[in-house]
Amino acid sequence: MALAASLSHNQIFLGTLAALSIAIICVFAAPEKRGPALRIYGLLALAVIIIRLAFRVVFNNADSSLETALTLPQVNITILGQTTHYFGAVPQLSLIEGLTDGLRLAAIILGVAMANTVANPRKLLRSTPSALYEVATAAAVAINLAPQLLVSLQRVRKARALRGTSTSLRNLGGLLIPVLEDSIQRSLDLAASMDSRGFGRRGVMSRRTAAMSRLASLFGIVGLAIAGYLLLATAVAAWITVLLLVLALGLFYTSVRLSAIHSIRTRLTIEKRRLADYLVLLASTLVVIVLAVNQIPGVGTNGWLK
Amino acid sequence: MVEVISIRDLSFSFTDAESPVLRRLNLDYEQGKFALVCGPTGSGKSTLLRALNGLIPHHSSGLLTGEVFIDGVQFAGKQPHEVAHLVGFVNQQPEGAFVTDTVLEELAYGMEQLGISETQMRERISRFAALFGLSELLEKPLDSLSGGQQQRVAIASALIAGQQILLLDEPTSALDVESAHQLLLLLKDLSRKQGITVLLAEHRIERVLDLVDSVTVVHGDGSASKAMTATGLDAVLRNYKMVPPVIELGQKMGWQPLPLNVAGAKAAWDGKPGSVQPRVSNPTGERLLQAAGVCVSYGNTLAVSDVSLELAAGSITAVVGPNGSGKSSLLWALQGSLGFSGSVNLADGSTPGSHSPQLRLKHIALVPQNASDLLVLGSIAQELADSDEFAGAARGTTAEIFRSLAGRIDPSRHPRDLSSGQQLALVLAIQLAKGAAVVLLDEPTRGLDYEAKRKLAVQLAELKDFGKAILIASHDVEFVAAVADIVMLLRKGSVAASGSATEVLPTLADHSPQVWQVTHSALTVSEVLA
Repeated sequence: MALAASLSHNQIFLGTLAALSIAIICVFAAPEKRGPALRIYGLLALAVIIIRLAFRVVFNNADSSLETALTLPQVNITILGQTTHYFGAVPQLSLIEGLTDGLRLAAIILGVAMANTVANPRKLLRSTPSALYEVATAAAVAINLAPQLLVSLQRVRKARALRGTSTSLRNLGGLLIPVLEDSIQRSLDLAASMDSRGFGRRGVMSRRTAAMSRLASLFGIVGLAIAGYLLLATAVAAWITVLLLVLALGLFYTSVRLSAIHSIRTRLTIEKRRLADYLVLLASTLVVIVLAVNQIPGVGTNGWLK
Repeated sequence: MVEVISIRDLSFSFTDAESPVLRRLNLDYEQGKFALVCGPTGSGKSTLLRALNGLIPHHSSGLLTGEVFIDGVQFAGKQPHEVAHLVGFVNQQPEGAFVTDTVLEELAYGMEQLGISETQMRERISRFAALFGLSELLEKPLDSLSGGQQQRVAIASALIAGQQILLLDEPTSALDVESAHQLLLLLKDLSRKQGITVLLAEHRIERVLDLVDSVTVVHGDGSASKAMTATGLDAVLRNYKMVPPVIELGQKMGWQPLPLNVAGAKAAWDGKPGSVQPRVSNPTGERLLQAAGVCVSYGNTLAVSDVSLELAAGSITAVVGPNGSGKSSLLWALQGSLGFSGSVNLADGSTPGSHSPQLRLKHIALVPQNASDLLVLGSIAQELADSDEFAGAARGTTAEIFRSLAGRIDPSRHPRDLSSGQQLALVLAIQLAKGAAVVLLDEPTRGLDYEAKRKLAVQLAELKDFGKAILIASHDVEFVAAVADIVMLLRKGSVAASGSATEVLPTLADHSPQVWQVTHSALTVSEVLA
């Protein structure tokens, strides 16, 4: 959905996306996570819109040819012989552009918020193919570290306040050292625990196959990243993007197949896909499909999304 | 007896270290026995344990030589995951070692890594859940469990793939007395009934000694000695300053053979009781802090409910109670950092919360559980100078306090390289530099070994002689017995008992100080005259 938001310029569409994200958080997030998540991400999204608009109002390059929405007294400030204008006539179009920009960012933020609140990075681990297992583990651990970092930070800040010292910039290092020490210690503990319980065991696999599997997954990831960039940049012909995407996915598939043959890991199936999961999945896929159609030349360029 | 673990000529030294932590150790552990590995902090007991499952040397840098045989197969130097099907490992902090979110997934994790089939997994999960009393909790998120429940999950997960050896590194350090006791009984049961070989590293050994089959003392100079019998243990512990109260009492009374548990000591005492000179503690100093009807709530939960107390100059008060009984919340509320209802007044009638954090330190200081959080600079000297400057005190004021608490320590050392006890002393000195008359300490003995605890007790006695009013929150009954004049027992946020140490501590029954359980007239060994 965040991907969709970054591609679109339509205010109604963006508004719908944001509303959908909020709705999903409200319905499916764990009750104790819902409140803080909505507050933090909601405020962030709102702040982004307001800042975007404020920028347009303050720094507008008054173009008299455009219809003016509101007129403020213009402030001219001259620094080193350069005069800059602030406030003054604000064109309607400029405001709308600002609003759209803000909405876009807000929709992206809310989309990420939804994924973060509803989905659980550790659950992600359960549904990754075994070739990607190691990459996914690293990612899940990294994602998990963020909330732990916040907890440590709060604890250390509270402790530092006891010493009466302010939490000013001078003390930032002092604040960070215990927090970093904490999180590094946690990661090491987790790594030790996973290793002690057999993480990293594998069946017999020849060196060549192992190397091939690694290479395939590496190129796959790089390919996907480039394809993703091209999709957003849209400066290159569409067929190159599609070709790269197919190639990357193919490499990925090979690496998954190669590793799966030699993996000894088993799975306990616990996840019953709930209605909620299906809905989230459906909504996201739909959006992406609509956009993909929109990207196809001739259909989308002048389509309703632009 | 079948020796399931045989250690031959095992040595380990950390990179950069001058002398090895373990030097040519030869030890054997029998199948189905409960073995205690003890020694002061930093002596190498945890290193020894980790060398048995490959965490040493693979998760720390250093050189390991020698051999470790498990069921006759040499495993020293192998990766932890290569030993995972034979050896289960449980850490100090279970929540830091959990890989998944729920009890069920955590139990399955190890088996998934080892490639156990799904039908077998389900069968084992239901069997282990029943054995460890987790059946009701399977769907629960791990972070919603109590510390004791979390440790049970950790132990079950370590054994569920059929491992016959269990290594535990200070598993009770974050638990209160009752949960710790339950955990130790569970371990004894595992060895006795399930035939699991259990190796437990601990420095709080007073509640463990009479449950185990053997004791290995890691001395800190690289050597280790193992004792199977009481007399052997007597010899091992005698030239060592880390004995629990019941052993100390036995040594003072000259009992032969040395009783290891309260029951044995009680029999010896009842046969020929010693004389007791109970201490008198009747704090009469000026009232430095008075709290009435203090309540603290988080959302809808009441953490502290209607607590009133007075702290007098030259006295030590202890708040005791299980984890989650509101001890910490009470301390933070008294200090003024945590919102509360009720009243807290200092000697001059003001409320701590009404002063800015800086000014507050002139009256009241709090040392939190993780004391090292307060240390941020690169050397002790810098910390001391910064503290003087900040307190507006003469140069050397903090250094003076620090020296009186911790003795002479090279001021160029990095605060993070100090032992927990030394860090605590440094933080205490910094917090006291502004001359606060009321001192609050939250769980000060956490992570301290016997020697460090003894030093802390002396430091607190010194502060008491200076006329400070001291309040400690602790679940360490033996430490409280050694230092406190007044004891307040909290249960679920409310005061369950309050009075002099001699009145309140005996009411804790099974959890009362060991010397009290033996003598019924003295709280500590020092009150007993041989």
